[in-house]
Amino acid sequence: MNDLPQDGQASEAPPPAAPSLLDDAWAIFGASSGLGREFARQAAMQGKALVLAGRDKADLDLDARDLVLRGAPAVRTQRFDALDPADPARAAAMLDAALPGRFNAVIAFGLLGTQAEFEADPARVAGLMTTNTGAAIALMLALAPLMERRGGGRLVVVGSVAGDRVRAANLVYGASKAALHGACAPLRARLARSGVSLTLSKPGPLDTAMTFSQNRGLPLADAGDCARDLWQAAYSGKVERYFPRHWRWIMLVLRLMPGALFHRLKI
Amino acid sequence: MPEALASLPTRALSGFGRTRHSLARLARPQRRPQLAPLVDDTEGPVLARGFGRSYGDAAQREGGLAIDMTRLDRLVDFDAGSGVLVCEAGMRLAEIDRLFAARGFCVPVVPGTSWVSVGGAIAADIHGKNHDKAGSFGDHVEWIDLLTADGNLRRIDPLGAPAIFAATIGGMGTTGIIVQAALRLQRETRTAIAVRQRKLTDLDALLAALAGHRAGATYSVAWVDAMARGRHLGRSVLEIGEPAEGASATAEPRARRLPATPPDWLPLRLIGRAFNAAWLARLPAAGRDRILPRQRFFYPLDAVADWNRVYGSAGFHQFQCVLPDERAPEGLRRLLEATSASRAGCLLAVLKTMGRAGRGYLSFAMPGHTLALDIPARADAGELLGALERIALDCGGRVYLAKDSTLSREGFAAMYPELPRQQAVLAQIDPQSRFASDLSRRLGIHEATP
Repeated sequence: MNDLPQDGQASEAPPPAAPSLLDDAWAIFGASSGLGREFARQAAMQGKALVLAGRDKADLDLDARDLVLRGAPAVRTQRFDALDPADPARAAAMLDAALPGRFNAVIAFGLLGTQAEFEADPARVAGLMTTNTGAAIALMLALAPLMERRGGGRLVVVGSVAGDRVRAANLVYGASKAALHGACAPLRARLARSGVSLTLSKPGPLDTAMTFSQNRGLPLADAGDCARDLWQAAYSGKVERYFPRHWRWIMLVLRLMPGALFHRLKI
Repeated sequence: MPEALASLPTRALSGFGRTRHSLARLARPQRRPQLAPLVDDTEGPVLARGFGRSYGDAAQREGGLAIDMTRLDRLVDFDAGSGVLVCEAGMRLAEIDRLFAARGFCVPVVPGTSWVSVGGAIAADIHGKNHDKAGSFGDHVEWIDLLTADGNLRRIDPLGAPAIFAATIGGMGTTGIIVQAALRLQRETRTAIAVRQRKLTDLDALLAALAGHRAGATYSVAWVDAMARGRHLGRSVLEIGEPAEGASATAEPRARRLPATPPDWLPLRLIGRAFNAAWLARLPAAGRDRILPRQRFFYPLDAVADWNRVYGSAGFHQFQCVLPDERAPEGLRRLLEATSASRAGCLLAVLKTMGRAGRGYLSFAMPGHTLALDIPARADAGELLGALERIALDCGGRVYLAKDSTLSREGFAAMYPELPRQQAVLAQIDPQSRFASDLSRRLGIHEATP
């Protein structure tokens, strides 16, 4: 009984930090994307507070109501436009004010487009690169010091198998994701020194709005399954995660393939 | 072509029976603001579609635009006091059950598959194994937000807009696009069903057993061997279910898939006969009592995700009709005799009872017995379906539109006496017949369409 504090001592000791509803909250960038929405639902089911960021705030407010009913203790929405260069810093400032403790973030926004569209109108390339690469990396850089100051948290970046080995038929999107992958490795090393993990998600084609109009008859994986798998990967501190898992082996073969052979493949 | 449609893929859409395919543009909005322009900024036919579980041509229109609603699937509001849930139309009924079981609520009426959306459940005014007690799905709907042909989102409730409400419940999507709805959930803390299975040797025994359980049992359904003839006609397994404490399945079981579509030369009739005989033989003579998770009792067929491919590439028809109680013994005998005598064959037959009429002009339910038959789309299927339709009509019954692919226009008009009231509403709110599905055109639900 000696180790129990005496009455007098108890009042002098700082009160233990009350568990907050906002502990271990998740900020979802691209919250109305197929994977972003499913990831947010997974977080809500696990009882995590959420910040939803995306272009359509009115529709995000509907998602927010959904997520509260699915178990999220608190949800707030924030307009985020990848094409507005001021938004990454604005979003980081908002998170700094809204979330007092360690928090986590997913960067799940992105555009796809077809090769024919980009060849017909090369002006569209810049918009895609800005969204998928420029805004994503800017956001990573804006969040990094914040997460470092908090001394922990999990950053999840959604890349793509298309960025592992860029195909001619998907050149622009593949290049945008390849550059994003490139930024992840050095940032992961830096964040690790402060206890922040960075998990790079590399999904194969998912059945989402992004792929909906371009279905080439390939099997599309379920975004909900991908989100549940990614959740587990983030919480076990995985460096990267392919989904479905067999893509790891497919991409290993494709990455090792000599260019002379790879670029002759009709894929 | 309007610009709004140019980027949308064209798909061959069919019902779950896979007998009729229609080429149509397909949209799948993910956010609410993407929905209205699909009606506003386009011309021509447009239809909402859920998980594609209606069997015939209800959720498709050749050359039109189909809107896959399954990504507009958000919970909007829930009042734990009244149990009223507001959610978007693409929400799956099984998902509601999964999310609200812990709060002690369930969906009051669920069909034989978990792959049904709220919008589809309202549009078909579906029923379950508890119709005598709980009525149809539409009986539990408080209001509907409906996107109509004029581009307006209207809140439709039985007091403010009784005619449009009655034309939307069971209206097979003909009045517009159901965007969200308020449903009264049922209080239920028990997540399992205590099931009693009993073997019955013939139709008379089955009807007597059903009559005995009808008033007391919460759930009842009979699996009938539709290939049995003569003194075996109507031999079946009756399942009586009551909510129970016990095994609950929180995670959805992973459904199996067929490795391939079976070839069309398979002798389905022989296989069906053998399958039914084996299935009946497996059950002990005295029957069996056990406790099952709700999902396993309600959705036995969902264990195989694409069981509809069992019937081969030609697909299958499902014939379901309800017969008024006083004509049921005679009518069911005639339906089963016609089925077992036909070369078309029937692998699966299900008999249930219904307690009261639905709230919609085209609601299927009436007090009576309802029989559902799977019929492979092979030679003689058309003849058998015609014969079944005539028996149903002759007995004062009606055919279920959510299952139908072959009903005649005359038969439909005779079976659904409130059709003129449906047509009067459609003339007023959809004068250009924009929401006319292939089913609506086949049956003449929109009067104006040829």
